[in-house]
Amino acid sequence: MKEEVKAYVVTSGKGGVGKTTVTANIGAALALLGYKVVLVDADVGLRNLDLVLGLENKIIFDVSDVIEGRCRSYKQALIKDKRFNQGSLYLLPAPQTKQKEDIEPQAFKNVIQEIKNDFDFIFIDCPAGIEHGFKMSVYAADEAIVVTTPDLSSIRDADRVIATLESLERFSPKLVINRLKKHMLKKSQMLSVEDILETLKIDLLGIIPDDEYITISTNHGEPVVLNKSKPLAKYFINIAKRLVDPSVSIENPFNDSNLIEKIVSLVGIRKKL
Amino acid sequence: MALPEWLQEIINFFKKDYKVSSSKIAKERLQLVIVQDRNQTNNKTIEKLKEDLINVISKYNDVDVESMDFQIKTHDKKIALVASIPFKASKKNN
Repeated sequence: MKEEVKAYVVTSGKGGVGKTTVTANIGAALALLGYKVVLVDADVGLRNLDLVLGLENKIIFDVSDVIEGRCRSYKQALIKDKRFNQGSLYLLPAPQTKQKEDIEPQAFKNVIQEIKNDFDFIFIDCPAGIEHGFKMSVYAADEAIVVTTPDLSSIRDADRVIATLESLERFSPKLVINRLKKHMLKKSQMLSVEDILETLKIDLLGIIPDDEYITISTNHGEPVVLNKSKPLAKYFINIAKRLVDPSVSIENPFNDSNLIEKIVSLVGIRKKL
Repeated sequence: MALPEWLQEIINFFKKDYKVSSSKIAKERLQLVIVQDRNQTNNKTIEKLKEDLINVISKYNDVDVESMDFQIKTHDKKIALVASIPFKASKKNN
């Protein structure tokens, strides 16, 4: 029998930390691994998941058309990403000309429940903030992924989101640390993974190093994971694998450099002596 | 004229302020503000809880609100409400 399908909400509190990019790439990575994935854009009025995936010109129906019965089934509103063959990746777009409050959380949840019958993974790209759009996304979800960058304001907002999720008593949110900058870490100019985990006290799902290539791939409307030769791809694939099997270990972009740094710092100490 | 980056780094290395890592400062500031955030939301809930409790108990006995003691204590990751709610010397008692 099929294992119970879970809907993941991808959230952060603060905007601009890479929620949409992370959602798109985790979903794409799972599709590459052979799973059937639906990405749901819950950012009503400010949708962007379509743009990141390069599917912006194919939208006919959106989630409010499904809720209000303007299409026969939710399937009519799904947009298939044809770049995936083995698995499949679909987008359910958010309405662009509506307000967040126009969508009723229960109706939204009903759509998500229906999708579960036909797919392996559902990701809900949550809008920034902790208002209606956030509450609706969380209400429809079974699991939560919190995205933060190493910036103070992002971590602080992540803490509020985690507190809100934990107060519901049905989530144990997992953390994705995005845009970690190696050269700044090296000089202790940026909070480390350990610092962030110590502060937020939740489990780590994955680490994504900062990489300019993400801008280029978004320019093309192409998930990074489709270009496996790019170093960034493996970190998203690692997260996807960890969602399938939590015993897979975390791909840490700084492991190898740590060793080199230790040697360098030893040499440094020697010099001082 | 601007120095090349590598030269600047070497110079920085010998400057004192370079060695105080800004991530350490960041961590301290962050943890402080997060503790405050967490407390503030807690305090709101505690105030509401306190009001509700006074209302319920007042149905049966007059509560001495002035000398109430109300605390949230953490122990082994568990949170407990420790409250002392004295009654006013009451006429209702017989």
